[in-house]
Amino acid sequence: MMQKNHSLKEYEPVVGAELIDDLKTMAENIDGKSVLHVNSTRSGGGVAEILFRLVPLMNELGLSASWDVIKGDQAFFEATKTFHNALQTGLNLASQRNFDDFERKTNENLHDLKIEGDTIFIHDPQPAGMIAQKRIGTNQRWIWRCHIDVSNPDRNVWSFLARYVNKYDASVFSTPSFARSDLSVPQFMVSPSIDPLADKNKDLPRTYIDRVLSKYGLNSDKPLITQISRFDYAKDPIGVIEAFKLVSKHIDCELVLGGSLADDDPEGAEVHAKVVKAAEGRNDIHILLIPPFSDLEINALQRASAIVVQKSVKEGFGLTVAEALWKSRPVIAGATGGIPLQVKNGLTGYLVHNIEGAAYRMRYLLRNPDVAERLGRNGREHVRQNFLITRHLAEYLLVMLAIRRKEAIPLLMPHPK
Amino acid sequence: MSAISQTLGTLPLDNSHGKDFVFLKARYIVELTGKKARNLQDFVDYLSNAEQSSIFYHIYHPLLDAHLVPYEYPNDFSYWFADTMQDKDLAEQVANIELPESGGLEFVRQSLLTKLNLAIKSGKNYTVPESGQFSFVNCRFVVFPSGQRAKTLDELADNIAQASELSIFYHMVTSRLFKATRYDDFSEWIVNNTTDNELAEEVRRVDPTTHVNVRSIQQEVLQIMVRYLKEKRAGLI
Repeated sequence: MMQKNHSLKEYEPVVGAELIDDLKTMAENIDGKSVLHVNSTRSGGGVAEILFRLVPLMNELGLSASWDVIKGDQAFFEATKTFHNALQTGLNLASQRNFDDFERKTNENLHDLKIEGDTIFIHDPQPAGMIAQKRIGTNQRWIWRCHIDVSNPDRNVWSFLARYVNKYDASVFSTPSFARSDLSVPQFMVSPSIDPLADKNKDLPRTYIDRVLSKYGLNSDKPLITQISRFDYAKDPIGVIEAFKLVSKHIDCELVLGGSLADDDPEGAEVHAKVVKAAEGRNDIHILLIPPFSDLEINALQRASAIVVQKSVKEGFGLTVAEALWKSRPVIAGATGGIPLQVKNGLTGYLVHNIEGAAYRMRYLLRNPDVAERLGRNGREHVRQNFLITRHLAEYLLVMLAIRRKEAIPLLMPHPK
Repeated sequence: MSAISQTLGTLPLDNSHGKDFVFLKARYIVELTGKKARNLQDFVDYLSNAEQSSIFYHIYHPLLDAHLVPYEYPNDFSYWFADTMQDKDLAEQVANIELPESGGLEFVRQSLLTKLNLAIKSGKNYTVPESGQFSFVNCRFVVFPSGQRAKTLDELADNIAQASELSIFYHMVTSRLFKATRYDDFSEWIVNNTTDNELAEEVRRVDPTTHVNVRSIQQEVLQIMVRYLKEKRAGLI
């Protein structure tokens, strides 16, 4: 079911009028109003979710924004998934065939997809090769927006990718630790975001939450521990089950591992099967395969949780953490990628480094509901200030200004009210 | 003079000498450098060559972010020394960095380097794991009028009361640091456009770095102005 897009005015009660006015001022001062975003999937995963919201908001600001998706086949997505894993783990995983498949499909996309616009945002490695369409010597600006951790990549894959990235006008990473010292183009930091008005994050009546729990056979009398994420080794779902097993020996609670299988992730089904096997024989562990666009149900599951877990061992940013914090849930999460920006240890949740750490913090929070409540309260404010879509939009506009303006400090003329 | 201070000095709305005080504000974006320090020597090397905007961002910009629980250590450097290097002594040494009376961010850099080089000479140079390295960043910003303007001291006080955190931070911290001037924009305007030098002197004594957030800076400046204007109306000044 398609969701409603919200107008900027509707965000004012959450983020304040000043930011909305500043967005208008910044957008008006950008030379070159057409913006194109390109990625590899329209559904599944954080990037598609953000673009679904961000593009209409850019249009409301007077920009002419659109969103295109490159085409891929099984060989291409196997190659890009291998690249993704190699970039995030540093392991030498990619074969020559992967590189060949990537280049073959990139060439087909270059032929089939015409890139037009003043500012082009290319999201992640999959469409990076589209830079070959850059119009050199014009005002067109290309930005490579990297959502994954490339701080310690496999050298082969990174060298291959960097050849493309160095042709861009700028790159954008989600955290300072992802920045590269071997890129010749400017690198900006823009954290991703959640939409507070979206079905996935808006307030829900308790009656609806109860219905969702009932639908999935969950016992609303027991504390619920939940991890919502793709079925992906990097999210360590097996580790979550192991931690839960340690806790559930002593405390009566339930675990939900819920997630979807994205179009561009051929590994998902394999991970899901292993997770199901790890939970075999346990009626207190619920593995839910949640289709895309089930945002209200995900929202309900997060809100019903006593604790939300994101025990990633590698992470781009981990937006499910921001989603949980926005709902005032205490979060236990792996200290990786963008998670430490969201989970301030002891202030908005707890960072953990292994299964035992996750189990200890689960037990601690279940036994100390006052602490859990304080962390949740702090977490919501932290997200309000730093991880909502309006801040995200403001920073994209700032990047667009920074790469077009020659002055050290551009002075913007105010938006007429 | 840096490109940034040149630009700020010539902004058409530079407000310290004009008749009206035009309220400005800035929005900031982080530019990543890829420079990551794992020990004190790396840290000193990167700091020696860092852009002024980097020093600004790591030392002063955290004031704008201090909405949650004030961190025990008020800037990125001291937090890293305490939290990652586990060196509370060094963290305390770089926690107390006031706004410089002269020399702007260059002065701040030299003060920091003096302390850190002394620490290295005393034998401190441990290496932290890669996951704990300090990432140096720069920042870029755009400046724009907030829409507020004051012609008199009363109007200045009214507008300070209503100004956003971004605007207060710009006039009390950002503008002063990048112009490498000794004083904030409010007191400069008071000195240049009124005869109320006593008020300007009081405002100049406000040190933003002793506050935990921008609202608190705003309250102190406002209290000074309200008290002064009240006494002036009563004929006490």
